[in-house]
Amino acid sequence: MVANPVISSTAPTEVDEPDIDETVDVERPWVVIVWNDPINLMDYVTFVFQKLFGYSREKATRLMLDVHHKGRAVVSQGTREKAELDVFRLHEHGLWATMQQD
Amino acid sequence: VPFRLVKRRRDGRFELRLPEQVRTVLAESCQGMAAWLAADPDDPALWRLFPDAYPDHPEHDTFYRLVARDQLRAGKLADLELIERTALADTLSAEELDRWLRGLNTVRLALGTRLDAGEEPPDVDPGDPSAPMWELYELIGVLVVSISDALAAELPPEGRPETTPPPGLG
Repeated sequence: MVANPVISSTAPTEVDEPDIDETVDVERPWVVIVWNDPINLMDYVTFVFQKLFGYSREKATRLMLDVHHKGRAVVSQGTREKAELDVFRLHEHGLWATMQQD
Repeated sequence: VPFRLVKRRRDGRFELRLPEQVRTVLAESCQGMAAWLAADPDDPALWRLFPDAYPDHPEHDTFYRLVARDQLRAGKLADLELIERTALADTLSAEELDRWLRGLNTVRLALGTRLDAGEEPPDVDPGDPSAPMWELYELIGVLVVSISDALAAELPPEGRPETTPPPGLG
């Protein structure tokens, strides 16, 4: 995505660009977002947050309400690997989860 | 004592207080859902079961799907088969009940997508062809709430320290 005019004018290889991206990416944590949807039920979503992340009932409820009222909430964060595993586990439970770099 | 659909016994197992007729309906809908998932996993009505992980990164998302999709589908099929198999069981273990919850939620997501359900239930005329589907959707919703609450009561309300998550991907 980010073109490097110096590199591309002198050595237009396909290897260099992703390397530059990754160097930048490593610095920034990934966040896992759960989006509001009209089907999943509040009690279910709260239970899933407690079960998957070990959150207290109170914190899980607060996150669920954020999803419900604000349309989305960040439910976990970390390395790309951790975030992807969390997204996968949320998908196993039918929640609408995505990840992006903060 | 208020009537509860899910009762925890002293031995840690759970009773689902459902008439046989309802259990049969649930088993049949799980069977139907499993057949749908097996036959046509790319059906757009099933998108809720396989959301994008990386909406901003199509390339990452393609790779995620390659790795995750079959595992997700296999897990959902296993949940649905477990419900079919134990539909008439007197009691369920906590783990079985947890898989009932996931499986029923899978059915509900697909039904809700097909019905284009909103947050509030619509007034559906009893003669409407979609009425039985709405009825099933509502029934499963009641069960999902009851099971969620019963299983949440098994967890420490103060939460637990973060541990290494169980292996999922890879």
